[in-house]
Amino acid sequence: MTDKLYEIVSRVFNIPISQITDESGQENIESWDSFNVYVLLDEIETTFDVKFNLDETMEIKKVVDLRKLLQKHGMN
Amino acid sequence: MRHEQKLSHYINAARSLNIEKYEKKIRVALLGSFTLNGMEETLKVKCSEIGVGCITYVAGYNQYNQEILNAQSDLYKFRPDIAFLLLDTRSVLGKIYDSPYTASEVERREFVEKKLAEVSHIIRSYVEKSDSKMVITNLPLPSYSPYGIYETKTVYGLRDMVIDFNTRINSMIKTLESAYLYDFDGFVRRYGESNVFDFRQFFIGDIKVSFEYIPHLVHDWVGYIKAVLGLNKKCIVLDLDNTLWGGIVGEDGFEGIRLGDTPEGKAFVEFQKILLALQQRGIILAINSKNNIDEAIRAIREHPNMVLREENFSSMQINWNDKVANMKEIAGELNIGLDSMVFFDDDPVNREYVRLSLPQVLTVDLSDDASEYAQNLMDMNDFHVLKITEEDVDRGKMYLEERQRKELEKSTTNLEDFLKQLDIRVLIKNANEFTIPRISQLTLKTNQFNLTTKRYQEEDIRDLVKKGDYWVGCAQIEDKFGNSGITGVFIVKKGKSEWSIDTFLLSCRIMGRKIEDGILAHILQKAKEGGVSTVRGTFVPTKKNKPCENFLSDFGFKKEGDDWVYRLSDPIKIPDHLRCDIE
Repeated sequence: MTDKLYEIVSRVFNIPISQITDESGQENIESWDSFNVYVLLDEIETTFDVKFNLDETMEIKKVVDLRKLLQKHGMN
Repeated sequence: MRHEQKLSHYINAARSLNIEKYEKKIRVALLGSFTLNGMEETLKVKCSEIGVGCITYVAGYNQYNQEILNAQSDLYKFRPDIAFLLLDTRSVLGKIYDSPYTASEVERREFVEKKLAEVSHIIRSYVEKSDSKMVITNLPLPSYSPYGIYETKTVYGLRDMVIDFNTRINSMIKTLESAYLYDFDGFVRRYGESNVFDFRQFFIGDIKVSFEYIPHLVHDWVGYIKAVLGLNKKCIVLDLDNTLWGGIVGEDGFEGIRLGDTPEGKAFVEFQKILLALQQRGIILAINSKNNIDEAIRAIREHPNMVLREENFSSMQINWNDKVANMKEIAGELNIGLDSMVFFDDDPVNREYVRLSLPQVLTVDLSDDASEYAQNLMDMNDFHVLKITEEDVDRGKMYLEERQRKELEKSTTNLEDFLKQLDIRVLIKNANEFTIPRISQLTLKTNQFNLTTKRYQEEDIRDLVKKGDYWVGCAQIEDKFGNSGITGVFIVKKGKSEWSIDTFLLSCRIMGRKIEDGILAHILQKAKEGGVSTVRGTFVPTKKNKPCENFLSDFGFKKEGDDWVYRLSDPIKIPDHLRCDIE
């Protein structure tokens, strides 16, 4: 799941996958704005066939938050 | 539903676009009552896919009013070719959207009047201040009402307000040449309100078209861009077996093909119905099929459930030749470019072959399932034109007549006999309100038989007519096979002792029938009657007008400097294969 997640993050923000870590997020990715985060979410939800609620989506500040959310929804 | 890429694909692809490298460009302004994020990127990428560099301007969030009303705004500095103004019901109705029934019926009516006046004013200002086209959306009709089932019993309730607004904004648009209405409500109906509008995305970023549907929406807009740039397709070329009917007529036989009656057969009938309606509005249909002509023709002529018949096809290449060779044959026969053709074939191998050999042709990725063919066709944004004229509607018939003419030509031994048997009648008409649009259109698009290739907008023609010393006329051509409509134009400047031919052109549709001789003889006769001694003509060579290079000299004009001059003391030879009348 992590590989796939990193791959999507890399694609959406147009950053080499080697540079993506759990700590990648609004503080170190320039294009990490609210719009792109929702493009990212849209991708993740389709790929993993999950749907996050509004509260969950508001917590997303970096990649690790996404990973935790996916785990919470039963992805490993 | 039509296949689409995800929004992130477009956002990513937009980053690496080099707009400069495209020869064709379009400047597009996007304005809206809500966030337009993602639409700009998608539009740029979709334009690049059709070889168009799209330069965009996105107005600030909900700034459309100020931008349009202020002639000094960045919008006008940008000089768009086309502007899209997106409105949504929630923003336009404001408070009344949330609480429609705290207002009285009278107040609701007044509110709609006020909004109509506002929006109409905006559209008019834009059209007046710029040369650009404008596309404005109507309002999606909300499915929910606090009145529930009573909503449709309510006089001028929320639903009626939106319907009234839409109807009247549309009527107003019809009066403006350069404004168009995009049926946003139709878009929402097609994909479903609960899909297009996603509450979560709305709460997060005022997003009123959810990410998944942005590419679909932009796909529709590209239809306008294709129409504006003349990239629309004019001809659909169709395979037969498993495309127009189920099965293979050569193997399954006349009785064995599936067409109508069965569920599978109905899919082909439906596809044919959509094709027929397109043909009736001016899209040319042609066949490119590997088949024995006798078997295929019998199915087309006699199968009880065929919707399309022989007369609907302007060209039929039914043989065992190569599909690519057939495509070229069709283009030649119809005298249209490969780049205005679309190819439908169920066989992916044929498709790939045509796509690789003739990339100009749009080869459609048909679904594997024939039940989706009709939808595949309806999903295309390639057939839009900004105006549908009478000539468009008659086009299919004209090509059929042309086919009959060619058959006659083959059966007669020489050109003279053929021309005599055609019974050509040339009807000369003067420029007036009915003929000016067509006259202008012909000067704008005729390239081959055009002596001077001068382009005139409708306004220019009106100005010439007003001047008084210009004779602007056109010719409507009929023969025993049918009426070709107005297909010739001439503009003559009338001096005291000399007339000069400013413009003389014939549509390629009627070339090769010596009609030009009839029209020119008529002009010379009129000049003679008017006591003029000479008529002067010029040939201005272009890349494309070689067909009329020798026209003046062949007719008897004598070279004088760069011009060609006819002395009216010489007898005028009047062609005897046609009749020339004056309206």
